[in-house]
Amino acid sequence: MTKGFIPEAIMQGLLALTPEVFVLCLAFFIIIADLILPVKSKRNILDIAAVGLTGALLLTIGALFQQGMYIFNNALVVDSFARFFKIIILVSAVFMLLMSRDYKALENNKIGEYTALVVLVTLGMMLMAGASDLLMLFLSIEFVSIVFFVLVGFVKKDSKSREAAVKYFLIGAFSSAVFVYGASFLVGVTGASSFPSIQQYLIAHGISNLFIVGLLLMLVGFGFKIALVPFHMWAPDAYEGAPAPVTAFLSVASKSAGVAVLIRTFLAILPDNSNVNLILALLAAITMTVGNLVALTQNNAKRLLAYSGIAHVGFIMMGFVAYGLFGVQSVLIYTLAYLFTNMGAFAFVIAIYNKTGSDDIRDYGGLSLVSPALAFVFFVFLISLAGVPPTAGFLGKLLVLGAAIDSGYTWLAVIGVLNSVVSLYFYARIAYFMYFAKEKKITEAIKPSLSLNIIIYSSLFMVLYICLLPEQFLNLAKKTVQLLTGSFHGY
Amino acid sequence: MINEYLAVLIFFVVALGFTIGGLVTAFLVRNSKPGYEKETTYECGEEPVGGAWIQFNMRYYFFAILFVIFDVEVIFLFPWAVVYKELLSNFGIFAFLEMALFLGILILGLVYAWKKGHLKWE
Repeated sequence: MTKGFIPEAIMQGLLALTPEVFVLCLAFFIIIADLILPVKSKRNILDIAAVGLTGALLLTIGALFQQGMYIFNNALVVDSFARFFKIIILVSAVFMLLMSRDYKALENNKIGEYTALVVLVTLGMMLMAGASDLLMLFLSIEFVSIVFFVLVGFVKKDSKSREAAVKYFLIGAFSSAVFVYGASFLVGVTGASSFPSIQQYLIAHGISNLFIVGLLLMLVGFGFKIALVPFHMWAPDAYEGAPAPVTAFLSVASKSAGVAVLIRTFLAILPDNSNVNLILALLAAITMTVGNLVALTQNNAKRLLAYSGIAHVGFIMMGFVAYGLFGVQSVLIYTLAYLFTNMGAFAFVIAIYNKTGSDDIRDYGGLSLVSPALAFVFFVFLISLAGVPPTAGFLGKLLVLGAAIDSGYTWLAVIGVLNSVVSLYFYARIAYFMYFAKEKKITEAIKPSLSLNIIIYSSLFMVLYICLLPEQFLNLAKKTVQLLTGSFHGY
Repeated sequence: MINEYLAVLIFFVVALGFTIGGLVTAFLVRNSKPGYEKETTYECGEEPVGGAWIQFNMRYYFFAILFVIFDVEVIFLFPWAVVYKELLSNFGIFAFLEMALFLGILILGLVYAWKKGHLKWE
């Protein structure tokens, strides 16, 4: 035992978790600020949080390629893969806070509480990205879910918001229960709860059927988090009812964190995924198809983006099914592209909502006449969602399809391409209303506030940059996957 | 593996038999003299007032939450206090600071509830 001020193992862990510790301190700072500041200056809390999270973001980016390691008795792993997802989560958290500044439904006296919850949920998702023990995994997933239940129902006056929160809660609680049940199988079979120990057991003893059953039950929990069909029922209602910034956050950050734990769990536990791959591939195909087909008839912009988000999860799963270096790499690029594209699209939905008070895409008529430049930028985000060049969405789709074909899932890639074609219709439908609708609902120019403009233009920059100069991002993803700790020993 | 669980099954059957057997024997042997006092709900010595199926004031919820916080705190404090001397010799002042941090976070929660007026019964 060391006699130092702080024991060495704990110190090492805390140092590796500097961004998390920073975010935790920020959360307490915000709670205290909420108690001290007068009501009229509470909007500033959002800015404080945004600046603080940007600091955490810089800390994470700075440490991106540091050697990965397990800390706190294998409860958490800090490696480039986790950091990559932490970056995505932090960026979307900053964007989300910027969006909230102008969101009218938020009352001034609730801002402190709201911001504290957002910062805490960010911390939870960062822990999720690094969880490498079944217990830690469950705790972090619950942490995130419970805070999101509150955030989804945050606008108490709006009955839709409350309804969304209750639906999200009921399905969330149910899938958590199934998840824990599945995890108990894993612990029962292997006698271990941390990923490295489970993997060691599997290498020594092989995989039993009971183990696979447990893993598939756990998939229910993951499926709930990332809105995978058939565990997606909550998504459209929760997305529609939640305050728009929360919807954006839920659709990007929560989903990325879910993808991170899903990939981490399977990669870190299973030596190879041949046992479950067919099921994952089928789920990917069903998710894509259901998401896209149902999106065809949606008129509410938030609902439409929810279904499009479900379809995107299908694509992400396709990259995951491909497995291996290339597969995971394609997932990373896809998630990055999805982050900027979706955040940009949501910024528009909020800007238009602030002006017209409507989320209906049929009310977007006339947008191209009063603010042609903005309409065009929105159009770029839409084609990025659809996966048309020269946008980030295209690169993501290309890599995911490539990875699927590369590992012999040509049928899945064909379904993916067909789905892309279908999805073009409903994204183009929004563009149609913006450009050609006879009824001009929007008659005044839309002027997004400064913070929305920051989101829109930085997202636009990234969406184009990722596709036009992809080399850096491909290298980044490649290096990230190579530095993934504790897996790929089979390659 | 199955044999190991056989013991659990036997234990379960015996436990079930013991419980049901006891209740059935008592039912057969006892006198039955019900009265008002006997049939009222046992409330730790308090006189029960009204029925249990009433709507509770939402305010109870805050007190329940605060109670849980400090209840859990005690659960953590107790083992810490028991081995405190040992911790102190191993980790030095860190053993104390860690608990201070933990308490600080919980106290912040109490201050928050206080300041937001949740401790007032209006």
